[in-house]
Amino acid sequence: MTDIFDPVAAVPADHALVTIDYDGQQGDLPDPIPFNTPDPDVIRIAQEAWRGGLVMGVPADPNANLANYLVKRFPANEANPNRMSVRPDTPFGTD
Amino acid sequence: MFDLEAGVVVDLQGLPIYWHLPPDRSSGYLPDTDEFYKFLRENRERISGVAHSHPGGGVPMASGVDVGTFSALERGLGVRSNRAPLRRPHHVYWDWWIVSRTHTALFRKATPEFTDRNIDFYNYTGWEVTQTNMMRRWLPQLRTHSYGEAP
Repeated sequence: MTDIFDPVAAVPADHALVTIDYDGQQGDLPDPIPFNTPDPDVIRIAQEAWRGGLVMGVPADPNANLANYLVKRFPANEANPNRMSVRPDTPFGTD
Repeated sequence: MFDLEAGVVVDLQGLPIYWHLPPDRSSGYLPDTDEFYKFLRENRERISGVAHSHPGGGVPMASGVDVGTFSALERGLGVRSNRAPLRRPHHVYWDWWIVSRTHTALFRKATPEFTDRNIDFYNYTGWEVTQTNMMRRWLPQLRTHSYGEAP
């Protein structure tokens, strides 16, 4: 019998997978985190994971800094569990 | 017409390849959009810089919001990364132009690397530039998007 990986079932309903963009690369946190984690905490977790080499598929970068980043949240649907994207924020304008 | 901030992404040949004109832009703010970020990410290897406009005239200065965006995008997209070298015929920096009704200024990262020190990764230098033939490919149109009829 073949096990089929079901990403929706693998992530608790109140948790989310987290994808991080940094240094031209993209990687996921190894474990889901609560979907209601505040944005500053998500960014701090992502930064520490990148610095420590815990982001899957990318090497550790002790100088990684996610200042001026934002968190985008995508609720689960039939095909995907909750997801969060941590990426650079891109506004221009007055302070 | 009121001034409205506008943005344009410029490729390595100096051509405009994306106009950033979100519906909720205003005279003082050009907001983040997923579409703009996705375009920058997918085309980062052929981008030479990004220009945006400020309201009014005079020599433009970069705001704290502007510099935060310059820095976050260059860090996030690996523009200066040793691990992801990008083939750039002229330079390895992105150009960040800011345009007013009357003047244009160019900003670039002033120190060679990003480190964990905030003073380093927000360290951008700007200077006034005159319109070159390359800039004529997008500058008049950026002013039209920002101020209506080209001044």
